[in-house]
Amino acid sequence: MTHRGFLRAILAPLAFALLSLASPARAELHVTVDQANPQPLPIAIPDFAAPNPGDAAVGQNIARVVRADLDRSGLFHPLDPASFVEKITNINTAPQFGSWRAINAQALVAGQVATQGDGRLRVDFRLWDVFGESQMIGQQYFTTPENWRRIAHIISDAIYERITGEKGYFDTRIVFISESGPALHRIKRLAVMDEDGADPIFLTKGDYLVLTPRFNPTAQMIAYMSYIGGKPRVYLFDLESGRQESLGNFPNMTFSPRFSPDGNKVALTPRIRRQFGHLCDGSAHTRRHKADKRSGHRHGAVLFARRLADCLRIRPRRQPADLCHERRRLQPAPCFVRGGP
Amino acid sequence: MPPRNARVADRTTKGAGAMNAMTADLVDALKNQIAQCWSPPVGAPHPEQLIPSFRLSLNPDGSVSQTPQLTADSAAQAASDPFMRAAAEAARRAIVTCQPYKLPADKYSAWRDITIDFDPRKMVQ
Repeated sequence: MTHRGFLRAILAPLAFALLSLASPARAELHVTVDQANPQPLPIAIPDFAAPNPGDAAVGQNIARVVRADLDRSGLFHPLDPASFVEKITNINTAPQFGSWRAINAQALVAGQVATQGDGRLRVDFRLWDVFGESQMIGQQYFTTPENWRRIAHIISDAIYERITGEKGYFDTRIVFISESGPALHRIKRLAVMDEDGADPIFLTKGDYLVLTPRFNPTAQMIAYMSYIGGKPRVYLFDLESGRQESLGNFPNMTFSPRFSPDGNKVALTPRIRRQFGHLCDGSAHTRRHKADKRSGHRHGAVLFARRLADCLRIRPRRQPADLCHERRRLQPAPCFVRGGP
Repeated sequence: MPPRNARVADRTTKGAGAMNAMTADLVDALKNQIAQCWSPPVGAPHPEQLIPSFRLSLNPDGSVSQTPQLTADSAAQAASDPFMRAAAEAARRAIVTCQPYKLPADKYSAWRDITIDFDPRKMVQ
């Protein structure tokens, strides 16, 4: 027996014996949990810390809007700040997780607000997994002070997305028809507001009936029907410039506008020879209209198709009457800088 | 893909007689306790594909001895899919919040090491 062969003969069984000792064959229980007890996630959102009373007021406002956003979603249960034991003063140190576990908080949002030398507002926050004792996300924003409410909605979106996996919808606006006045002389105005109902703005004066507003999914633009001059027509309202214009040049009424998913085209229904056709992004039976010829006009490609099936699978005349608002994501304002702390 | 429940049944039938019934009881006991704390995220586009699987060890008092670990397959899926990550985190919260588990102490060796699948399919049907 050679030296090497001897070693192999001795070591191989020894190694096997050692391995067996290290991992004794254990029975492993296999469980499949297929029933749940869905509950809103308990989350602690203390007022955002601040270096002075002025910033502290902003910190309270931001935390209040975030709590309200998440509460309204139904998926979160923001805990009562009166129950909080630890006061967050510096978000760059880890919180005392035990004190948050004690009140059953599953997640903790620690934030701070500070006005910068240049007058901008700096908002930082960290989302903590209380039981896992780890940071889930950390974000930092700079903005003008009057933009605090949007920052709050953006933070709500970030928390919602990180915990549920779904995109948040809090930083969006709703377009709606505001109604006022007596039943026989209703005044209907086109209006927009934040997703939580804050900051409503009227876009039309109420001189004419307005109906069926629809948000462009990609731009700050609304398509709607209005009876300006007694003629029911589809109009576009540009939120950034405040301008409105009639869409296309049709001899009779047009109604039921809908934007295409890319926001570049509008489907609508015109009345043609006592029949209702369907204008849309179809390639068959198309007829170009005047709007198409305007160079650089993003809504120019209004096309005509006779078959409803060509119309983006939209059935303009069968929309439910209550479909009078749509949400959309706001464009990030140019004054935003986003980064991680 | 074969149904996962079938695989569990195979395992339990490996033991003979009393062992089989005991394992089934343990599985039921654990399942019922964890289900109380499990609140899976709703609204993912394909919930039937989000079945996080965790390996964990329990202490004799029924507490979780270490942070529960995702199995390799689940971990890989969670790394690329935010919905899976959310599902896995919800499952881990369930394991951690519901401890300690009330299980028969004399059978500790049978429930010391556990694999748990969190299967939301029954709830989304």
